[in-house]
Amino acid sequence: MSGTISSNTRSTIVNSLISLGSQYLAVGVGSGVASATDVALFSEVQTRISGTVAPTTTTTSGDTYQWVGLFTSTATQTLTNLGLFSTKGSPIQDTLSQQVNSNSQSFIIPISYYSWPSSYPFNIQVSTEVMQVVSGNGSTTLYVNRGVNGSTALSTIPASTPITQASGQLLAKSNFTGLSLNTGDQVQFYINIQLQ
Amino acid sequence: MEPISAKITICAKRIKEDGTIEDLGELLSSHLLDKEEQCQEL
Repeated sequence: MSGTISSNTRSTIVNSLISLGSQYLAVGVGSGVASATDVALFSEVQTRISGTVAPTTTTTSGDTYQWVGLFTSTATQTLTNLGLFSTKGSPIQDTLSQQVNSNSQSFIIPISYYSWPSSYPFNIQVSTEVMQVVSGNGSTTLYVNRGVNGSTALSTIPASTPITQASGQLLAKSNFTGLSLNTGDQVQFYINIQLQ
Repeated sequence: MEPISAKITICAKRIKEDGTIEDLGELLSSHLLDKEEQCQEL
């Protein structure tokens, strides 16, 4: 048996993606494997950058969404993951002050409580898990719903694990073997999403 | 039955200080296409 998306439909879907409008490239330096349930990068760095989007052809006419943009490294760093987001704003980032001890623990304690919004809810990425922050105690503790957006609640999450706020809709995310850059290096990225 | 899917491919080129371009090739691909050909098309 065999099934496929017709070439016309591939092109239609690509055009629908393009109609979403501008997408901004974010890059990260943390470790982890990208998952469809993710809402943020692993340790995002620098400001997000604009690019151009257009349909292109890989196999069938217009089957590929392509984003092209120029990234300039502002530090000596090794990029490990990237994503395309609907907004340019950088996310709030922090780390866990204390380990999460079970998959039902309904609170986390970040290092910098006051860096987080006081209006709720909002989503955060903690390792491979997405949590929904629903309230705070006003000084140290954020109360969360675990394993949201289809992610799996982790049984333990070590202290010092990065916490990243969801900032904009994540169109696509990838991790890759590290790309080592020096300050001032410029890299032209070509991100292709091909419908098959 | 073949899955209906999308594949993401990331290619990169480094622009050196003297203006020359170094092709870094693919950073990621799900290996369903000829990777070298994919990057050369860019």
